[in-house]
Amino acid sequence: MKESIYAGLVARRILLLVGLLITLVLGMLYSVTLGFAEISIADVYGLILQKLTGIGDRQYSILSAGIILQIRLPRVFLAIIAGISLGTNGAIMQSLLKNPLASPYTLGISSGAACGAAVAIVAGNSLFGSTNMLHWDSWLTIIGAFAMGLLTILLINIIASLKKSGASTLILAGVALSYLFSAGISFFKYIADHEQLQQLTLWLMGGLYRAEWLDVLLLTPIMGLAVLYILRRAWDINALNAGEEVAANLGINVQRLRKQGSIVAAFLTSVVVAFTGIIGFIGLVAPHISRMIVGNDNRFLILASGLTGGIFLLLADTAARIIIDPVELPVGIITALCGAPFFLYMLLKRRREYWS
Amino acid sequence: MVRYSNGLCLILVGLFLFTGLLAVPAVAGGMLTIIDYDGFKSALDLPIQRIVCLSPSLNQILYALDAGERIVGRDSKSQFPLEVLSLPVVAKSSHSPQIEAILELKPDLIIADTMLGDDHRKKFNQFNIPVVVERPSDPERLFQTIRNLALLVEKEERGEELISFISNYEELIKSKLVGLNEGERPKVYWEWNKPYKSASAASSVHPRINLAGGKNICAELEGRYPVVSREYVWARNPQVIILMAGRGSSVEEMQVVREKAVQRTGLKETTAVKEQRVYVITWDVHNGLPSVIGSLYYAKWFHPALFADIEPARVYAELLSKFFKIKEANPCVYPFNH
Repeated sequence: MKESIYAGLVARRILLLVGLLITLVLGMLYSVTLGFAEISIADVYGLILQKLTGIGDRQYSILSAGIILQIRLPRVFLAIIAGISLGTNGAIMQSLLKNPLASPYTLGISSGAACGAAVAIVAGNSLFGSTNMLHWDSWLTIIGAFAMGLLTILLINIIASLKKSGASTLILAGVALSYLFSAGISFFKYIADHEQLQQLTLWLMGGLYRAEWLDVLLLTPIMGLAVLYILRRAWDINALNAGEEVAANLGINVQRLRKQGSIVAAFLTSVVVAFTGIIGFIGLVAPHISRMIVGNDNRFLILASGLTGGIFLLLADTAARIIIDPVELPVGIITALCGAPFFLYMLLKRRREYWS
Repeated sequence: MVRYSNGLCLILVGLFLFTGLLAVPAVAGGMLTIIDYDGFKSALDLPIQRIVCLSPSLNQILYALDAGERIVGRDSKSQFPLEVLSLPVVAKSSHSPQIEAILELKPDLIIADTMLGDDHRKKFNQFNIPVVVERPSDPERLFQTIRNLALLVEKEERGEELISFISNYEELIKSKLVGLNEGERPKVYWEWNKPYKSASAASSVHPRINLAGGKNICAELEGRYPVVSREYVWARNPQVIILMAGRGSSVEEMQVVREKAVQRTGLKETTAVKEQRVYVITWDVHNGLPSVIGSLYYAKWFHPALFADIEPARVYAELLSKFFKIKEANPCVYPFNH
């Protein structure tokens, strides 16, 4: 009897995950039809199918083919990958740190990455030379953000090792590092000239404007490996949620789990943030929505949170593209605008079982 | 009687000389009341001998007015003409003046652009230092700015000479474009410092595109300098693309700006790229005093046949030689052979 109830529960959760996946695919199919250029839905899908299957000999204009294949599709994919990464990371951070306010940015990764981007944007001319900056500014910004993200992980790791990886220690260390890097960002903002300041401000608001297939190709395997690792540790994280002592009795090295999990999540976050800038609220809200849908079992929660993050960022980015089309809004504005009221709603209507 | 008349003559001559002595400062100096861009009225004692100027474009105008020797302090962005580099830097820009460093220079006047905050203005006024704010980036305000600065340094004639130099070329552009049909105006995509950051009708670049006979494809968008989607630029298919490069950019740097842009997904299939009508221009000839050179380049790029006889580089050289005593002009556009 218990087994059949459990099997039913699992089947229901799998069904819900499939539902989320279908929603994500539908969202993708819808998003790719939207944009300034007037390309019919039939042409959009016809072109994609022709490209995927090689069947059909219809000649599409360079404009239509270029806009769909080189502008809209990479952007849609980048939104999904970044959303999945942030959503997954949010779920794992909330579980590992046993804190409903944790997000991929709790450990100070966003501030660290932002500080790296600020160094590249503001001090790039002096560090790398103005001609190199002109050639490689966007890649140097990505590298700067990523490198500082890694440095943050390293610092967190050292602090955690010194203090035996307590969840509260990690959180407090993250808060302290955030303040430290925020001071760095403020300094670079202050010394930046008008143009650099504009560039930095836009970066800090997050955006997927630069989306190219190369970005998608670079991020996909990193995301895939990180999510796989996190999923493999889902049982252990479930045990940790039942309590540190319970997990230890089950043979789990809690400190190592927390440390490794945090490092993988922080690594993935710093890669994503380096490409997209700071996109807030996805990693905070997606796990909460997912917990309402599939419950606390991390085997499902992590996947659900990733898919929810993907859907959320895809829709937010689509909105950012079309709200005042053709002017692009930074997607961070949309995610915060939608995420913050939702979070407040959850605080007011919170059911205890969301987090227990 | 003779003694009396001699005495009267002496008194008259004495009075004349005395009033003459008083009249010299009244003619050369006296009081000047000026209303600046922000609408603040300042009463100034003339002559003004020590000026702190916190804007590159306003410093340029002062030098062109032959009043460079009166500047005693500058902002860090002021790099032209080269003489300005010998002056102490007392601000990063008008936005962030170093108050103590400025006070130490004991200026008679501070000239700044609109980035100067009201708090700073009040602070300087507390020390009885008048402040005049102008907006040199506003093309419609340029002549008024020149006139105001000319009044401040008592170089009105030179100011009018400068205005006439600029307005003659602006009139030339207008006269060559008289009767231009809407269809003859090329579609122009203008880009600032970041990919797809363009300018709408509310920007200061839009009137220049209009003046030079182009049609700004981003004119109707929201915001002054909106970031537009790549799809929009591609779909609107501009015939001319103008990319901005920083002040003092070298030819190599301008070349890189152009090469990177023409390879971009949203631009490489446009008519402008296919017909090689992608141009890079530095801010050196885009703002303030030399902005007329920028307008001439625009007009030539938009309507090469109509402006075949105009050589903006030569006009630039003339401007530099006449008002700055500089013999050679650095390249400020790329490519040169338009």
